Amino acid sequence: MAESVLDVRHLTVSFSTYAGRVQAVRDISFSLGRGETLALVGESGCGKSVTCRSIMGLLAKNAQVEGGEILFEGKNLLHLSNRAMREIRGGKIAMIFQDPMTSLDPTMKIGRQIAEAVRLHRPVTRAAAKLRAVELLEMVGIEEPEKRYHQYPHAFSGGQRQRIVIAIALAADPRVLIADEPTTALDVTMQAQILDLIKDIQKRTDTSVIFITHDLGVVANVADRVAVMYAGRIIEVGLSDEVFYDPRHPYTWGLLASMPTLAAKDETLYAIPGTPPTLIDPAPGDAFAPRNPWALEADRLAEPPLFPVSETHAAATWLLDARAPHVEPPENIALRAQAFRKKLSERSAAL
Amino acid sequence: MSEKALVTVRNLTHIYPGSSGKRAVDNISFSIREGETFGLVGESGCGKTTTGRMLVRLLDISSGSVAFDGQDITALQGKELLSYRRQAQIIFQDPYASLDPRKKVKDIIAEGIDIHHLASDRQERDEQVSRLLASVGLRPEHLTRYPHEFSGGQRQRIGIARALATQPRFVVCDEPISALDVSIQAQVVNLLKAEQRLRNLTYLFIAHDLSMVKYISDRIAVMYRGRIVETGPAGRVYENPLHPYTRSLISAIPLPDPEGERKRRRIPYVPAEKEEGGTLVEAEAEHYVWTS
Amino acid sequence: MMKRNKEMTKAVSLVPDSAFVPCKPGETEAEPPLPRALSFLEDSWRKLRRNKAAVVTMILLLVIAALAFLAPVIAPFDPNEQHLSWKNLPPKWPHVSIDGLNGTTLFRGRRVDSYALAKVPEGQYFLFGTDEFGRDLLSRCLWGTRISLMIALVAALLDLSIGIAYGLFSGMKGGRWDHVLQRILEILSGIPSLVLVVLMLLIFEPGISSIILAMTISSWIPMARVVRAETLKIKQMEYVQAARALGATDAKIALSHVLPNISGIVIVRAMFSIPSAIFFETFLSFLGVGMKIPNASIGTLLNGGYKVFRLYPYQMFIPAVILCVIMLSFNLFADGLRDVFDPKMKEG
Repeated sequence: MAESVLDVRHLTVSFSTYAGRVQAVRDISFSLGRGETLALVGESGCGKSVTCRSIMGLLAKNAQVEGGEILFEGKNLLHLSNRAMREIRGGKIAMIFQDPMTSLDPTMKIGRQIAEAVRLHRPVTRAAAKLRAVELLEMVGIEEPEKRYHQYPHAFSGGQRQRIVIAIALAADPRVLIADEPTTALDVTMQAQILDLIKDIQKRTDTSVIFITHDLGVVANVADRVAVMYAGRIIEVGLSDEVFYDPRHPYTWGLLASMPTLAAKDETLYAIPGTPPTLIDPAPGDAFAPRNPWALEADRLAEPPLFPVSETHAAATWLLDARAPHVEPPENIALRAQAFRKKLSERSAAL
Repeated sequence: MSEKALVTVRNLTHIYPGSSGKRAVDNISFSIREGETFGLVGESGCGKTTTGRMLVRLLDISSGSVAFDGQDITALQGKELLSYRRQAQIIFQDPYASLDPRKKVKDIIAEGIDIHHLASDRQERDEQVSRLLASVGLRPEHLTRYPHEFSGGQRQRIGIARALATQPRFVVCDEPISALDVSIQAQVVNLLKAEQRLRNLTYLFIAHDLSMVKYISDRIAVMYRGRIVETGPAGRVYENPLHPYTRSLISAIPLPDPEGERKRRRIPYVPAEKEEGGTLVEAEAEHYVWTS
Repeated sequence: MMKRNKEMTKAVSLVPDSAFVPCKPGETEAEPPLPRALSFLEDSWRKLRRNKAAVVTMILLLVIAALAFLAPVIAPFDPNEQHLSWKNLPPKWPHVSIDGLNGTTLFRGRRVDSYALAKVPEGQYFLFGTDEFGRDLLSRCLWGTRISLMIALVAALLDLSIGIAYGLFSGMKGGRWDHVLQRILEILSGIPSLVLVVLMLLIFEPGISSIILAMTISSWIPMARVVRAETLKIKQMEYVQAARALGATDAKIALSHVLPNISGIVIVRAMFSIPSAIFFETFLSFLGVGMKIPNASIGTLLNGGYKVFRLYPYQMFIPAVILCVIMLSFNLFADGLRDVFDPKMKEG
C-alpha cells in the first residue's frame, strides 16, 4: 500500500443525551493511503459522519472523544489546539457537505467565496486569489469562469453549486478531502458527473479522499477501498473488489443482496430483518447479531474481532473463526463471487 | 393483473399558479391497469410528483382528464370526491414530514377509518388499527407511541398502514424508499409488493432510482421536463431504451459492481434545441417513444 | 499489526468452542425494543427547567398571581377607605428600625416619627405606607396588581380566541379570502389605539371596560399574523397533505393537525403580548384615561405617586418596582418558553 496520509487508531466517540450515553463510534481504526479513495459505507447512525467530524474537529458540543488517536503528518489531531485545528481544517483537510445550498453563502458572489477560501490559508494578494479562484472554477467544470465568478449561488443549478463547493474545498490544495454524501441531494445524471469530477481531480492532484455514503453503487464507482460500518464499528474492510465480490460479513451480504439486480423480477428481494440498534447501553456481543440470520451463539457472547481474510481484507464476524461452522451466503452473493472468480481466471489466462 | 385500465390519464397538464404559465406537467397521457405497478421515473423537477399529486386530487388539474374505474374524477366535489379519496391513497417520500408529530401512531393510522366511518364502534376501530399495524410488521405496544420515537423505516411503515386503512384500490407511492437506508429499502419494497398481492392493489410508483423502479414495476414511463419521453414494459425500456434521455439516465445509475463501474461510459444527454411539437410513437409492442 | 494480532488471539481465546453453533431461530429479536422517548410535554419541561431565569420568573409570577388573586382576603384594608388624618405615612415594618421602613420622615434635618404625629395607634403598621388620602398602599398595590393581571388575562384570551381563529381561518382558506382578511388586518392595525380610547371616553365612562374594548380592536393582530404564517407553513407539510388525501375537511385539518403543531409558538406569542397589554393599561391609567378614580391600578398609583415624588418618593417607587418585576418576569418567562417551543425564532 502507498504511504499513509491519515491514520485513525482506536477512535471511540460518545454523545451524552438525556436518555444516556450513545456509543456513536467504537474503536475504529483505518488508514488512508496517498491518492487513495476510501469509502465509509453504512446506514444512518452507523457512525460514519461522526468519524469524519472527529477528523475535522467539528464534533457537537455533547460529544466526547473517549479514546484513540487521529494521526496526520505526525500530529495527533485530537490534541491540537483550536487554532492549529482551524489551520488544518479547510487547509490540509477539506470537506464537502451533502447540501450545496447550505454550504454556500447566498448573499456573496461565488467567486469571492472561493477567493476568500484561498486567502484564508495562503498569503496571496487579492488579485492572485482571484486568478486562482477562476482557475478552480475552470477545474471543476464551470464554463465561462470569469463571467460566472461574479454571480450569486442562486444563479446556479444544484449540480453546479456542488461543483462550486468542491472548488472551495480545493482552494487550499488539501491533502485529504472528506466528502460527506456529496451526491445524495443530486439527481442520478448529476451525481454521475460529480463523481467523475471528484475522481478526475483526485487523479490530477493526488489528493486522498474519504467518501461517506450509504449508496453501494456510488461506492463501487469511486472507491479503491471500502470500510463497511455498522453500529459504530467497522465490520468489514477491504479493497473494493474484495468487499463487493467476496464479502464475508453477513451484514455486507445483506446490503448487497438487498439491491435488485437487473435480472431479478417477481422474486422477493432479500431484506435484512429488523432495525439498526440504538447505541445506548449496547448489549454484549455483536451488535448485528439480532438481525443476523447466520448468527452464532458466539456472537451473543463477545464482539467478534476483525479476522483477516487477506493482506487487505478483514471482517468482524465469528463465522471466520476456525471453529465456526461453514455457512452458505445468500444465492446472489455466491453468484457474484463465482462470476468474479471466473472473470479473474479469464483475465489471468489472457495474460 | 388484468388488461382493464383502472386509471386513465388523458392530456393531463398542470400549470404553476402565477403569471409565468410554466407547465410542470405538459399534456401527458397514460393508463394504469388494474393490479399492476406503473413506474414513473425522472429527475427532480420533471413533474413526476406533480403528476402523482394530481391523480389523488391534491393538486389542481389545469387541463386534461383523469378517469378512475370509468368515472371521470377530474372535477369531483363533495361526497363523490370523498368516496374517490377512500379508493385512492398516497404514500409520501419523507417519513419524517409525513406523520403528524403530535399524534399517536394509533390515531395516525385511524384517521382514514374515522373520516370514512369504516368502523362502527371504538372496539372495531382498535381492531382494524391493530391488524394494519401487524400487517406492516409493527408491534401492538407501538400503538401509543409518537412518530419521533421510531426509525425512518418504521415510520414509513406507519405511513403505509395509514394509506391502507381506507382499503384503497389505487395507491400513489411518491418516492417511498428514497429517504430510507439501503437495508430498510428492501423491507419496504417487499412490504409494498406483499400488500399488493394480498389486496390486489394498483400502484403508481414514483422514483428517481431506476433500478428499484425496474424491479418493482410492470410498466415504466420516463418523464423529462413535464413530458413523458418514453413508456413501455419495464424490461423493454431498460434493455432497449429508445429515447436518448432514457439512455443517459440508465447509463448514470451506479451499480454495486466495481468492475462494471470501471468500464462504464456515461452517455450525456443534450436536449434538442427545438422541443415543441411531437408525439409518442409506438416503436415496438406497447413501447412508445417521444418523437418530434 | 503484531499488536493487533495479539489482541485478536486474546479475544478469540475468550470464546468457548461450544459457542460456535448457530443461534436457534426465533431466539434473536430483530426489532429492538423501542426506547421510550420523551413526550412533547416532558421534553418541553426538561428544556424549560434548564433555563434558570425562566424557572425563577415562573415561580415569581405564580407568587404574584396568587397574591393578586387573594387580594380581597389578604389586603389589610379596603383599598378605597380613606383616613385623612393618616395621610402620607411612610412605610413602617414591625421590628425593623432601618430608616425608610420604620415610619419616620426626615423633617428639617431630623427624623420624626410620623406615625406618632398622626396619632396612629401602637401596633398599626402600613407596610407600604399610605397615600395623600390615607389609603393603605399595600392594599392598593395588591388590588392594582390584580387589575393588571386581569388585563393580562384578557389580552391572552383575546389572542387565543380572536387571534387564533382569524389567523387559522385566513391561512387555511387562502386565496381571495386570505387576501381580503389580511387587508382588513392592515386597516385595523392602522387605527391608533390611544386616540381610540380617548375618543371612547366621549361615549363611555373611563374604566376597565373601555380599555378592554380598545384592546379587542387591535391587540390580537400580531397573533393573527403569526398564526396565519404558521398555518401556511404547516399546510404544506406532508402530514397535512396525507390528511387531505384521506378526505379530511379544512376544519378538521385546522383543528386536529395545524393547531396542535403551532401551539408552542402560540403560547410563546401570547406570553409576549401580555407585558405590552399590562403596559398599555398602566399608560392609560397614568394619563388618567384608564381606570376610574378611586379604583387602584398600577397606572393610577404611579399617577398619584409622581405628583408627590419629591416629598414621598415611596409612593411612586413601590408601584414602579412592582410594574418592573411583573414586566420583567413575563418577558423572561416568555423568553424561556420561546427557547423551548421555538428555538428558531431566537436565531432569526
